[in-house]
Amino acid sequence: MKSGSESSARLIEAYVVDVIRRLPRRQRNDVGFELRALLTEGLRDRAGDTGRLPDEAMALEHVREFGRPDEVAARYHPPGVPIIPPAQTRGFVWATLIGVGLQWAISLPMVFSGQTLPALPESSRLGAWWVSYGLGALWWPGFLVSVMIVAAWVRQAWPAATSDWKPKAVDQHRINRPLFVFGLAGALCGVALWVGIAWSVMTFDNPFTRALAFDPVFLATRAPALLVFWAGGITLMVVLIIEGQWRDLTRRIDLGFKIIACALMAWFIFGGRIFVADPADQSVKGAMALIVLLMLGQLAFDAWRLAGRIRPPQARRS
Amino acid sequence: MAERPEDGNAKLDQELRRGVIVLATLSQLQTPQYGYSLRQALADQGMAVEEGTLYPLLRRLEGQGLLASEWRIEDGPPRRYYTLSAEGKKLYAALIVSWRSLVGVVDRLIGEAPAEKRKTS
Repeated sequence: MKSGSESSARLIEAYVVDVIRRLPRRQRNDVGFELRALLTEGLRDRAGDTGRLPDEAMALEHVREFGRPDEVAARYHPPGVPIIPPAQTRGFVWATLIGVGLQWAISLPMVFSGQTLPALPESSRLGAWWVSYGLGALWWPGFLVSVMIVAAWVRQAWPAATSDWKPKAVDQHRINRPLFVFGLAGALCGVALWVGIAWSVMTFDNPFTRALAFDPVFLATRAPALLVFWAGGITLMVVLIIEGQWRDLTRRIDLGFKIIACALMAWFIFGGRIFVADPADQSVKGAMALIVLLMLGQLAFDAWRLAGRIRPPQARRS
Repeated sequence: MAERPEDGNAKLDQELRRGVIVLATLSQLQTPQYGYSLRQALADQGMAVEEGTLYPLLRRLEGQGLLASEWRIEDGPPRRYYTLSAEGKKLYAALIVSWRSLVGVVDRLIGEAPAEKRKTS
């Protein structure tokens, strides 16, 4: 019988040690002493209720009812500041997965095609990829966690400043006129540049103009479409600057222009030469491909934002 | 895996009780109590609180300055006795006011529910 009491005491001791090792060092002894005494007293009463002496099985049941050591230890801690707030957990997980996935998707084919680490035999490329780019991509979750830690610290240090909600844009339809004027000036400069290049190529004959000479087929077939597109885009900007706000019609026209711009640029990239000289042709097409990607990203973002708007529910009329 | 309705009900019940544990605990600490005796006192009056919840709570309340504690040796091993601090007494008084108001409001709400049902049926 005595051994049963001893083993139950040892079990309680082991449980208490398991709890307090998760607590701050300065609390451990005090909490441990108190917890051991309380558990022992609780076990004694439990044994009294059942009419038998405490044993290991009874002690195990008792501490299991008390809770898992990690959960009990967590209850001793004051409520802390979450590093990743619940509302941001989903976004954090997606950002982590997409960031790591993109890096792997880019680096894996490069290593296997021999573009990077070309000296390696094929059999050892996967291992080499894993210890270099594969594991290296994990800098991204680490970076995100670091950002979240800083954000949590800011929330804790300046709770009043971070908890006061401020509207980002009360009127989503109003446009930023100075920005649009700046954009219009940029668009006009772009048109002037292209027209200037075309004019100088046709007027002068020197290495510069030869390097930037437009392909005659491009000028005859695709360039007019570009001019029409520019005219339409500039007109839309002027209308927006005058009206000072978006309307449903102008938003639809803008969406249409973005789609047409992507289609036009895809046509230019794949529809033949733009410039006669290879360097100019390839670099401009590369830049266009990048712009198409950015515009598609913008379109996807617009679609996502549109989906995120609050729509009326399908209510049943009663 | 989907949560079973009875699990959800148990959780809601637990949350409801968790909200009043602090008030119940403070109510019993106008005289010094140690963890186990406090639990017994609460249980005797129909407010059973799990040991794993109550003992850490005492420490947290002490950490917040709401309880004062000291080790004492009476009839047995050393025990840590807790009692309301001056700050704890103030909070206890404020919580009583909140609780009475809340009970009144919820009682009215619950009392209105059957009448509302009758009206719609």
